[in-house]
Amino acid sequence: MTSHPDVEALAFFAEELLEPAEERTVADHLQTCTACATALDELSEVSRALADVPLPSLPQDVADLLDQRVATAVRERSAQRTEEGRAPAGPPPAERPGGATVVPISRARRRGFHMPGLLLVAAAAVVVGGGGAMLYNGVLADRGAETGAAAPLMESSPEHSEPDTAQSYRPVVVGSGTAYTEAGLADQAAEVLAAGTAFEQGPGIQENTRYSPEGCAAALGEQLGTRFTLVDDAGYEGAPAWVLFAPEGEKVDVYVVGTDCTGDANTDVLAFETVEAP
Amino acid sequence: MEAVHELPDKELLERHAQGDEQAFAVLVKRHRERLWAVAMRMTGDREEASDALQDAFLSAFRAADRFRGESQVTTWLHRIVVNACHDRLRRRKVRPATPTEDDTLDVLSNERLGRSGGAPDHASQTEARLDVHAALDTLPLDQRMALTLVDMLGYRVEEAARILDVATGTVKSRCARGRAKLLPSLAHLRNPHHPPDVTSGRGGANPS
Repeated sequence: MTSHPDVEALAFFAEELLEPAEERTVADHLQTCTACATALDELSEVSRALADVPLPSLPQDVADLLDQRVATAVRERSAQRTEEGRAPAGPPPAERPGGATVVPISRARRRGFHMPGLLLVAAAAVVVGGGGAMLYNGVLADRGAETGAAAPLMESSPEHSEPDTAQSYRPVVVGSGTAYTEAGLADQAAEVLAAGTAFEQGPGIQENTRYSPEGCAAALGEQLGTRFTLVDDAGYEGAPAWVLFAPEGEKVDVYVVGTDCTGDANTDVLAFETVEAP
Repeated sequence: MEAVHELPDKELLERHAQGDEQAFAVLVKRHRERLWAVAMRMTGDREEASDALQDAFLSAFRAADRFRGESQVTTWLHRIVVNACHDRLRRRKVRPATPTEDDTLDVLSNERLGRSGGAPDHASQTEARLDVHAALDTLPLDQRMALTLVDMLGYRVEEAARILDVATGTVKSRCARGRAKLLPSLAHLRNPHHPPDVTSGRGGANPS
């Protein structure tokens, strides 16, 4: 009985997604196996059961609320334009000092933009030093602890022991140089998470950026009810993008956002994946 | 009827971005019924659908000047609504909602039954009379969203792919995986003569 295809294989067969050889095997099997033929029929019953659920019509109170909120937004925008014009929102573009392989921007920015290069390299070493395991354990794994994610970082570099409560709310920003793609996102994200080697510096932050990577991560994290602990300043489908990592238990949620991030997840998020924690 | 009501979506969005005060409301009225159905089917919950729809339209309101015209306005609006629903579903998976409304109690309790056991148990799912939404809640979000668009709402795979911003093959495989997972809990709803476990007692070796 081991030659039965599983239900998922049958579902793939129905969508013509199987490799030719496998497709032939399943087709041959279906000729002789009534149980599998029945299962194939039932898969289309699933689609029909879903289609049978009647479409809900918009309740009047929801429609009214929607109209009200849009009307309020229109009024607020008009008032804003009348009073102050359209001032660009968001923090200034981040300055990205070169040289270090990994630049933890959160540290650099907190100390001002003129942090000496040597210190930057030292700060980078704190992040890179332990390799991938540390990147995960230090940056991602401990996020739920009340003591904050700073603790593991401090463990691996006792000389750098200043209390740093802000660290626990700031993601580490790296530039892995990964050109993420829609098809490869899950694998690529897992690789970056597990990477044991230093990251190359990313392509740099666009001048017209409205949010810094960490500002974007903070704003989206708040909106999504999660906390991003790692940001990869990289590219997605040929354009600059930030890839944000948020651990959720055994999994890590991976969000891809454009570098024109406005802090609104509904419009910023280009792609989403969930990968296993390394 | 004012002329603004007859303008195409794209022009309404442009006018809105340029400061027109009526254009966006026209766009909302034109698409809200359909997008409500999307939000309801995605979230399975009236309050969440209402919140998601409002959030989505306000997001679109603010992001109109970033619309590049590379997709249809309807696709873009759908994508924003789907993203808003996705956020809510994801948060609900992390922290299960507290029942506040009588009319959500049924779905919520079914959800708990479906979720508490960890691995799906076909027999107990049947006993719990999982409705469609509770069954959908057991799926990974990407499969649920693809199935909602394609099977429940009847979008063509190509449209769903544009809305979800993934390849058509990805939509097909997500739908296939989702249907395979739903089969034990849903097929018998339509077809009571076939016991739901007809596929579960077999060898089941994955040929891939």
